[in-house]
Amino acid sequence: MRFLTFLSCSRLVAAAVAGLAILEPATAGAQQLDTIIKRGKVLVGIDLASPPFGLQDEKRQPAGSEVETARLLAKDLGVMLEIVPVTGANRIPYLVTGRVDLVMATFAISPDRAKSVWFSSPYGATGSVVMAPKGSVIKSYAELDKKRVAVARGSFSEQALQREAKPTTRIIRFDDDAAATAAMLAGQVDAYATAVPIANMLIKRSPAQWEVKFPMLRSWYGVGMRRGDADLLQWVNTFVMFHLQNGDMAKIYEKWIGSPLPPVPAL
Amino acid sequence: MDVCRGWCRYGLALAFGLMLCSGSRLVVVQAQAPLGLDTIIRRGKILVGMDMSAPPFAYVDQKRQPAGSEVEVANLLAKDLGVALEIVPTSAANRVPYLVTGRVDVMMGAFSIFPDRAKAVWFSSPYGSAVSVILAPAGTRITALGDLAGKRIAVSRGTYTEQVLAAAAPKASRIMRFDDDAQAMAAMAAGQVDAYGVANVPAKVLLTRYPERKYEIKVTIPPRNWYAFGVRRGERDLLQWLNTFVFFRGDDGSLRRIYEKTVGDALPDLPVL
Repeated sequence: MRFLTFLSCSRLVAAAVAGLAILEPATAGAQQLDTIIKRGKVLVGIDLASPPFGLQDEKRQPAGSEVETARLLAKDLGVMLEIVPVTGANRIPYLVTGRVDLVMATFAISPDRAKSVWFSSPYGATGSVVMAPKGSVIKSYAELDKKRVAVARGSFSEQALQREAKPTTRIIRFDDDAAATAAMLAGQVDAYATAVPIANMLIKRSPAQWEVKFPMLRSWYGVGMRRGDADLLQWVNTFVMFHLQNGDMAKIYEKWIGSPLPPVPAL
Repeated sequence: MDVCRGWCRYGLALAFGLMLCSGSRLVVVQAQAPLGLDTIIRRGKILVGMDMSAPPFAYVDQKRQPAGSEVEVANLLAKDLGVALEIVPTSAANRVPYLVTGRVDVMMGAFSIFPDRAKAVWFSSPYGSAVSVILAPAGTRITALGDLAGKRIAVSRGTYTEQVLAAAAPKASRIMRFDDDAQAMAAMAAGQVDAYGVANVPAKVLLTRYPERKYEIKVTIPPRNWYAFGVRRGERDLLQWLNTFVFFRGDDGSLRRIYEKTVGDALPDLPVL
């Protein structure tokens, strides 16, 4: 009898503990910072299929600017880093259901996403540019009129080009950036609309030939976390501010993205 | 008996009113008004308070439609939240009570950030700016703040201008507080005061609206103020969303476009709170 009582009690306790464990990660207003430190490990969602921000190197090890920034964050917290691979589509669900503590996946800050998650102050920027041969007169969307502009199908650059360029601009869509790049190198197009890191890479390869003509898009990315945890936000904002000021963020950005980190605003 | 009950009721109402007006209101009302971002989204509507008699920030145009920079920012905010906008008209003086009693979700209307007000409400990062000025008829000799000595100066109660004027005006000046800017303005038009303290932006509207009165902007009263969204203290989640909105719409140029179109001045670079 006593044993039974003990059993049911311990079952209750176990159930309660299990219940807490399930609820704990997603509880609004939770002090997740203490949980992370006690656990000795921080779970960071990173997209490892978006070079140069997140990628797997030749040894199949995670690398890229976000991986390096996450390593810095774990070191400052004094805990281990566990990288949880995420995609653009599942970043928010992974965060909200507690499968990760933080998302660092070039997570662009926007009012729409802010209805679901909290963002720290930004620590980097992504964007697209229009590049063309050095002698070209292209300065803005206006000069793209009637020109052939290469772009990768389904990219943000394509969306921006479609939205901003005159209807008479000849947008030539390629299956991916490799094909679009090849077309530009072969002189089949007049300009190429692409992401900043790709433009930087091409220009670095032949600086006498190409240059960035104008920026199309820029968005700032921050660390994403669940809504309601002011304590964790405060720590992450302190981390971001500290490493922006001491130059670490600029070093990581320049190493991977290939251009200087622009002056970063605060949120 | 009925009379007594009536008086008792009056007394209760008065007590409640006093409670609202005193500092203790915060504790009482905050517990009853757990509004937040989710409540707004579920309701499908955001209640935004602003003084609708303050052109070019917020006013009713010839077609009797809300207009002005604050109305445009509020529309953008509601659009980004995916909800309808309901503007709740307030005066400058009752903005804080309206917010803390839960009659609005967010307070706007060029709601300037200052520490005294921050004892009652939380501010987002600022999205606009103004400077207070002294407006007076052309013939009145005021070339510096020191010239306000011995002068009667009208100002609207509860405004940023009231704060900076009280700090900057010489002791010998007489600051006369009115319930709103319309009354303060009327007092100057009637010659009951010598000058009128108001933000530079509405002051410019008065200069063009009443050229026959020959008003002039005499001096500015530093420092420049920054205005922001106000939310109830403790509304951390709503504040975070509003700050994200200010960040994003500041970065993409929307806030600058609205300000420069309706206010007419260049928007200075916004600091972050």
